[in-house]
Amino acid sequence: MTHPLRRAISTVVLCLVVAVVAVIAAPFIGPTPLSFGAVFSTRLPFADNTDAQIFFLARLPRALAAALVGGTLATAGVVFQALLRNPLATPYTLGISAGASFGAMVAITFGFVLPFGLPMGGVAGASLAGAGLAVIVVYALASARHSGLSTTVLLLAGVTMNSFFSALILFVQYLSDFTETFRALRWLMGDLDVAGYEPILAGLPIIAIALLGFGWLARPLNLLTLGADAAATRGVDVVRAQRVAFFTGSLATGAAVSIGGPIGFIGIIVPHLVRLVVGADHRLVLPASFGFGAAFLVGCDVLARTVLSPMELPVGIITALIGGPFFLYMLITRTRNTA
Amino acid sequence: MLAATDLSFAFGDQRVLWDVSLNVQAGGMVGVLGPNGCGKTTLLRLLAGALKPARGSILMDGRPIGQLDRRTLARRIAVVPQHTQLAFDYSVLEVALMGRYPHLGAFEVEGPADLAAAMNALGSTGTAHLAERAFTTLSGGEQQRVAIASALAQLDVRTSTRRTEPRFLLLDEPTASLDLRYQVEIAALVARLHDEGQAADSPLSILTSTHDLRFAATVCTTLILLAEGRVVAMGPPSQVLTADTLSSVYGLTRDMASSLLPTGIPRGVWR
Repeated sequence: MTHPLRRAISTVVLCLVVAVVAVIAAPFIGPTPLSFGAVFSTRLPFADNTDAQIFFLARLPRALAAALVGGTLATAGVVFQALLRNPLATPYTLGISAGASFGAMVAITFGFVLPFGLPMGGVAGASLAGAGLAVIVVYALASARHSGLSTTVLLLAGVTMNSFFSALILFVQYLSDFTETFRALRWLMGDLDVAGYEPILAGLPIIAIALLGFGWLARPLNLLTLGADAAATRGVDVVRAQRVAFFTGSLATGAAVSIGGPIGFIGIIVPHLVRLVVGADHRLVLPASFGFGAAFLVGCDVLARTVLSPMELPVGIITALIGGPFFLYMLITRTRNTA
Repeated sequence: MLAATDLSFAFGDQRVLWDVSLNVQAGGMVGVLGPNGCGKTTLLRLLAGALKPARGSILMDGRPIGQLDRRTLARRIAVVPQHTQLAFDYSVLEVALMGRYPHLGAFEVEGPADLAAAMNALGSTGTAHLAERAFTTLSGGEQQRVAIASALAQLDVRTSTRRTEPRFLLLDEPTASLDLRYQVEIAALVARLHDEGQAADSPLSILTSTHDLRFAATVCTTLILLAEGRVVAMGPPSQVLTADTLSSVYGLTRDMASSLLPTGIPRGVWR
């Protein structure tokens, strides 16, 4: 009997390779055709090499941002689905993206910049702060009457925070003028139109910490899907695992949203497709979801840039157009299975 | 030996157990009976260390289980819940391997010995041929046997340095919601596991809650009858299962209670 891990490890490697290939290939697609030889030419100095400039300064940051955000949202989705023991959970279920959106709206509307020297733009910093606010409120609610985290209260608190922040967003929008409203709306659609590498570098440390946490969580999350009691009697420190899952998942989501806005459905489509291929073990699902999520969002962003070229669509529209029907399909097939 | 003394527990204002004392001897086979809501499941959760008692103590070989770290405890005490519900599609082998959690470090991957323990456990519950199947596609009886296999893999001490310590398997109504054939099958399995566990270096003790009087009378050597969170009777089956105790605990007429007594079934019928 071979170890179940061994059978799917090649799929995981394949997902990661596809992600790398996607990041390198995506910048070659666009209104100005680039030649592979010219981009990586060592004979021309960079200042005179327009192909290389378009590749490295305009398009590669965007592909990298897509890969980082896609991989992060997909793995965060995996973590929240395991934490909540609910296959329909997403990184946004607990209100983190709504908090982040509220922060971004405030920054866009009131031009308000965070006082402390966050190495990111005012909007990104404010969205991260908004996400933090949502995380603290939801955690305080869910741990108020329990020694651990009650998943039921987590879900209810998250749903409540989502609608509460949505109301606040509408209120802020009501106060804003036409151009601010337009910018805000564009942000809410989820857009990877990053200018340069700064947003990526600003989000990267947070995401790296979160991914380390995910690595530690992989096995405890497997056991948590049996239920808290069953996990505890097998030696899992349930309260600690739930806390780590909640905070690292939230950190990752907040950082990803601060880079690309609340891009929807990545966190639910990708984990499900990945599970169909590699099974349910989180030691496989997490890395495979990172690779596949990265490649998937890079691909969606290429679509967004090219489908109505020269107009660029926000990538969130593409993921929503794919994700909405997919989500419904899953809802229907799953209910049929369990009925 | 697992020894509970004067255990009391409450969920908020709702008191569930009052001053419950019991011993599970090394190699013992103990049945816990009682009406729904009498505290059987809570008692099991307390004994496994999943809940902290409000008052009273639980000692394993003389040491309070609260002082043992949870992985050490999990290598000695395993629990099979009434239902195992998985949120995702793990294979049967993966479920059995989950029992190996307390034997591995944080980033350690199951090795050949862990795989052998899991396959061995599946074998002794008659589910080795299901190893590749998705757990959620199994029947209730098969799921119950796989859940027991996962607990057996958890208690498999062949890889451990301390292989002579007694081990405890706690089963929560293992035959509930199963049809007659599966009830018999699971009962026979529990009896056989207990017998086999005596031959091992570290004796296997089993404590099972149940509503099945025949199972309790013929498999268990000691019975504990709970009612409203208190111990009403404790002792060998012939003393605990009487028309008097059953009629008072379950609110039955004396005639009805005595007609339900499992008499005339030879011990060892399951084996």
